[in-house]
Amino acid sequence: MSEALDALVIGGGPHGLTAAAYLAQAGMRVALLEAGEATGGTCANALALGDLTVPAGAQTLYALDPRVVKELKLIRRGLKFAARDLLQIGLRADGKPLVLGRDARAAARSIAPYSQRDAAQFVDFRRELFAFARVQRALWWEDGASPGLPDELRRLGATGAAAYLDAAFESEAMKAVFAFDAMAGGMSPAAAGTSLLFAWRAAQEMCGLQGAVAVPRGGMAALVAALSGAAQAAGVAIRTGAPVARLLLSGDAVAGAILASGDEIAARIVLSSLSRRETLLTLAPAGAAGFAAAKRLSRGAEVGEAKFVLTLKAVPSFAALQPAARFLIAERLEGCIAAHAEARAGRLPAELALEAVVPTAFDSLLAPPGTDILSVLVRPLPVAPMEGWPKLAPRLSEAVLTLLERHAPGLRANIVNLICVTPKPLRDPLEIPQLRAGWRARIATPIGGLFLCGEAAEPVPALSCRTARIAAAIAVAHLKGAAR
Amino acid sequence: MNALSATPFHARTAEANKLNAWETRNGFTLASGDPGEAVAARFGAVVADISWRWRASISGARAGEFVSRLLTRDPARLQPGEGLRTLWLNDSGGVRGLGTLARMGRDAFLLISAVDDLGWLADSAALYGVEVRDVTHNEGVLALIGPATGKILAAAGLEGELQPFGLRKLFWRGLDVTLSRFGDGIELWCAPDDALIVWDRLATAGRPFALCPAGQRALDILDLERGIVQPGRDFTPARDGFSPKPSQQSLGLGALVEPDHMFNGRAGALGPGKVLTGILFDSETPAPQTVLLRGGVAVGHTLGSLVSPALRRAIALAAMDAAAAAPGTALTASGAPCRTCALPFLPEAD
Repeated sequence: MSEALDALVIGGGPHGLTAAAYLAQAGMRVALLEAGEATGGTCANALALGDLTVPAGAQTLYALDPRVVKELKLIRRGLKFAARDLLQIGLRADGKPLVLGRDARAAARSIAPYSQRDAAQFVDFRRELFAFARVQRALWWEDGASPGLPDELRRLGATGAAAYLDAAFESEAMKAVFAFDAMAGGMSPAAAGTSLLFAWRAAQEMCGLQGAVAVPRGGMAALVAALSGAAQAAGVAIRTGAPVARLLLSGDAVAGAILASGDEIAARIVLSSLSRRETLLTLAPAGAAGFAAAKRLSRGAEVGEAKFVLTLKAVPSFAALQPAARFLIAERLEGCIAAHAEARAGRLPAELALEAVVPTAFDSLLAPPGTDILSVLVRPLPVAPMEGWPKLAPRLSEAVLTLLERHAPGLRANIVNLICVTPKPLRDPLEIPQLRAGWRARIATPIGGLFLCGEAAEPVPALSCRTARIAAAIAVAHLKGAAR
Repeated sequence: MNALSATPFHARTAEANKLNAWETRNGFTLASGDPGEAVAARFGAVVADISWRWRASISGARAGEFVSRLLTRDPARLQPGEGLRTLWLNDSGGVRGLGTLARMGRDAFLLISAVDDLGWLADSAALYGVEVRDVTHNEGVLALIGPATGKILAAAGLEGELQPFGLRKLFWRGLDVTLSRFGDGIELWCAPDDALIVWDRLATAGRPFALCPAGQRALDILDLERGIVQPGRDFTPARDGFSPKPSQQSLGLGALVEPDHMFNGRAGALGPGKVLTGILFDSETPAPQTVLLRGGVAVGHTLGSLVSPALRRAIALAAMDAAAAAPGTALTASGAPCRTCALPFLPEAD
């Protein structure tokens, strides 16, 4: 075993790369351990789809921390955006699509056929939501800040998304268009506090626009390449094909990691971008995280989302007019609440909510001419269905295709290839009270010197890299404190 | 509500329960008896039924690793047949339990406590693939307390020295029994079916030494006089996984914690704490869970408090600030004058 490193980062996804880059920039000797053959995690183009490769994870960026983009010079390292502000389009079976863009008048015109009142209310709704969200940025963007408007935060922290939307809108169409976002992190829109998910989302900023949804040019792999470049430039030693078997402990503090190959790597601190559950239950020695914590962690998320990626011979009809959009399919908000209950019980829900994006419609780098990619996220789905995913996946595919076909007639005939990524097990359940808590409690673990730097420590699981930035700062302060 | 159980000695303790006073502990119907029975343990000896105390067997290949993480003292040094008194804490350092761990074999342990905590142990043991079973109903246990204990055991044909916190299995005229010395006096363990034979043999052997059956009230008094803290009576254990109360520091149980040992909830259990002392009241009015004042300033609080018939006054265990723990410090508890004294109140006379 060579001399101890300052820091070890587990997981080579965007969060791990970000954390490692910040640590190295702070002068730490850092190694990053990635289990796979390449960095990128679920953002890497790791799934084969005909001649193409596609990522298994996020299909859009709506939360990437602008300070990470700036401080790690990601734009200079090649990160460009193919779309900066996707329209939010609700596809309806009972009428024309709802087009909720930044243009308030156009949005009102689109809502009016469903409800004059909602058309008039939408501008105020969005203004109030965005204003509240801006105030909460201190809490959601920075460590150690206290929440603004604490009374309002407490009120929303007890209000379900369904109740919040019921108060804001009267038409089913307007409520349903927000149903997909209300189920972030596997939550039910009826669960207390889920209205905060809208505020959290609205507090995000992409390309300088609040609440925008963007897509990198070249797909998520372009983000990975830029982050990887930043990490390497900062001096991070990246080791791929190096799965961690378990953590090394000395007393009740971390001392490094043991690889599956048996190699021991000593380090003064360890940052894990894996889930809390994987980090503390699988990698740490039994009991090290605390008995009660272990019991709490053993209950994983029950409801999750699946991803479908299709290659098509033609752009689906709904994307023909407005390609730079996220298309949301959900008939009724109430249906999503019932669907969540079904998914929780381990069954395939009768109604599903979809978010579809056609990245090839605005990014020519992704596929050769004549081929289009349709990327779809599906919620809510059981993480561990009773009959098992191998059996359920074909039924889910059929349900999703039927739903898509309803809004894009002729879609089935155009399908060349299809791949389905079933819900990820081992994910930590989203806890709404965490949306009102500070960062440190999520990042620190009961094991000294072990920090979480991935989605597990975000208030809402998302690709923001913000946790990694804050975790790196906390870890550096920890090391300096220990040195003193 | 669950049905109450009778201990294996119930037929005999019922007969001895002249006052017909009963109580329930850990799901067992028990004779309360008379507090005055405690005095008999100062001159001759008493026999009391402690079969109700919760016992859990912990076994599995990683049982040693599990109990080491569970308990605030390192059980690694225990040989089979040895025990130690220890705490177990929740994640934040709140005291969940206090009891005695005995090593029964290389990978087998027995945990004994006045208050059960099976769920916590079973859930935690599952992390190690270790099995925890409630074995309270698997044997009858008697406590023999008093200066004549040794002579009575000798007269009964149960010879042999026993170190404190020692445990020994014996074959006693056709019966498998176990002798241990975990608390105040000697404990005798036997199979439930043998319980009445064991009681009768002891009663016969003890008759020349005025062996007297004692109820639970007397047993509590003897425990307290000996300075033994019991969960449930002296403090309410934490039942949550994360609540930091009561901490070992606030109960003055630092003697049961080894700071260098790695155990669950260690971070919350470090740092100086209060000191466990005895409190002698001038009156015969016990004052449990009461703030103790010195010159109007709070310097500690009592845990359990009872009237000691032998001392003819109320006594209490107390967690005191170190500065006020010196024996003889004059205090008041709810206006009642009292003073600190060293533990135990009454020595176990051998």
